[in-house]
Amino acid sequence: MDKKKKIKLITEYLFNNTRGTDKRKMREFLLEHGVAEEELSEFEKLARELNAIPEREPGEKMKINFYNNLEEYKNTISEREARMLSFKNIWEELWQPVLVKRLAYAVAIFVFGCLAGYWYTSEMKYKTQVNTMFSEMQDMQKVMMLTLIQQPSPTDRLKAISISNQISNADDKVIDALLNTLNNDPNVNVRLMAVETLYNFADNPKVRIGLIKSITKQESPIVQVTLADVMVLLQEKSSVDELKKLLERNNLNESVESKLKNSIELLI
Amino acid sequence: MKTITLILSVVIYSMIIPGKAIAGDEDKLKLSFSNPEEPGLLIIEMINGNIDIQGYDGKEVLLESLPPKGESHEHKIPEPVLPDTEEGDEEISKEGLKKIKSSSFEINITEEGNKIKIKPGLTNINQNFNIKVPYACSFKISTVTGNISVKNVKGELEMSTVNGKIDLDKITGSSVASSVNGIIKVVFKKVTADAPMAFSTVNGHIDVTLPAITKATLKMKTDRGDIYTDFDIDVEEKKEKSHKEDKPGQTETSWIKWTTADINGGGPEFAFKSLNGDIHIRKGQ
Repeated sequence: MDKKKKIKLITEYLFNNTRGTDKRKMREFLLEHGVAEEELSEFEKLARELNAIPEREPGEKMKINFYNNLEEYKNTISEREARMLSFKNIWEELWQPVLVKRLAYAVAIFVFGCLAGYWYTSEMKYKTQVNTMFSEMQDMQKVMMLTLIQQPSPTDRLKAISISNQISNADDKVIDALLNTLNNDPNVNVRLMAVETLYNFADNPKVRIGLIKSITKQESPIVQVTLADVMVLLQEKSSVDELKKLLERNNLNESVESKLKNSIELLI
Repeated sequence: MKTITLILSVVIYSMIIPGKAIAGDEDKLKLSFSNPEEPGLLIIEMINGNIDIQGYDGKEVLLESLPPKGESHEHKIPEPVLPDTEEGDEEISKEGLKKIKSSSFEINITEEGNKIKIKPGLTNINQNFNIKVPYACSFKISTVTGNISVKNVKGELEMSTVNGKIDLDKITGSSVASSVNGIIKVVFKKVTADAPMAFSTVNGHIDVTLPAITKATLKMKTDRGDIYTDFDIDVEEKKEKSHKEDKPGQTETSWIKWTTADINGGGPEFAFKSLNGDIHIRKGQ
């Protein structure tokens, strides 16, 4: 029997309410299990002495303390109750007509916010969709333009040119195709419309240079005249030399000659 | 392009003009397209001479060559009949025959991929043509001096001349025409939807009659001419401003603006451009 268990049993034997035969049996049991008789007697004596100590009556001060504590406790309880009451009040206040209105506003704004957010994102989606579609259309138009401009029918080539008017971000391919048409197309009217279209892209330096270089390449009087017009519109002074070169030609149409002179005057 | 573009026939004719200008169809040179079921393209490259074309109900192209203007038959008749340098003619008597033209002329005719190309040879470039074509036929005709007249056909008409007049009548389809000094006159019976057109001259007037229901965007510009139309249009004058500020006293606005107008709600672009000529756009049936 270990010490802890022994002490526990002894305490049980001494202070518990075991009486009569049980107590005797217990005493025998303890003695059997290695508890010395003197030791046990000593414990019994101590127990008797302890029981003999009179219980102390609570003093006046203690009483006061106790009631104070009780009061305090009561107070905390009532406070909690009061707080619960105020919650109830708030809940009731909430259902007053003005507040209901406010609440309705709040809900409405919240719902509106949700809807606006939803609408905005869907709008953004729509916008990006439109943007993609637009750029896809532009690409398609470019492909169509580049195909049509090589067709033998002048009507198709005019179509290509009018498509290129709709291409907002004409790349080098489109510009090259138009410049090539301007210089090499067998049809006068197609070349003429190419000049008009290239004029729309005149912000591109490549186009300006192409237009200037083309002046002396043109045999058709109406194209010569149109190029001279465009040079005046663009105030392209560097074209004067080319216009003068053209003016030196022998076979020049009379109307073209006067027009070229007029244009050079306007440019200088 | 199909690789199987067959050169079906390359013919070089060296021929004597038929006896009479008003000969029947059997006397005319018959040219066939390789695929007569599909509309063909007739290409004529002339220097001098008038071309008169009419659509007819047939599959072949009938080519008739006429003496040039001013050389009437009467002038030819008194000419003495001299034996030709051609050999093998001795057995054939020429008695009682009138020689209308003393020299033969060369004309090159080729057919390839449903395209007939007619080009007079260099020995004789001064020749008039009277041609009958199937109704559905497209054209690419160019002359330097000479009038082009086309009537009653359906197709794409590409015409260009320097000093001649272009006269297209009862046309179904579209046209791209240019002249330097001549007039361009076109009367459309019906126009191809979505087909852009363009007409340009330097000194000639442009006179185009469109069906009343034509949907188009007209783009017109003439420097020293006037523009007339009887279509109901809201004229939108596009003043193209110079990229830099105008110089004082500059009169450029009068000659650098396009007049654009939609008819029947707008459509493909029809461009009319002249330097000295007037532009007439008429409302037809």
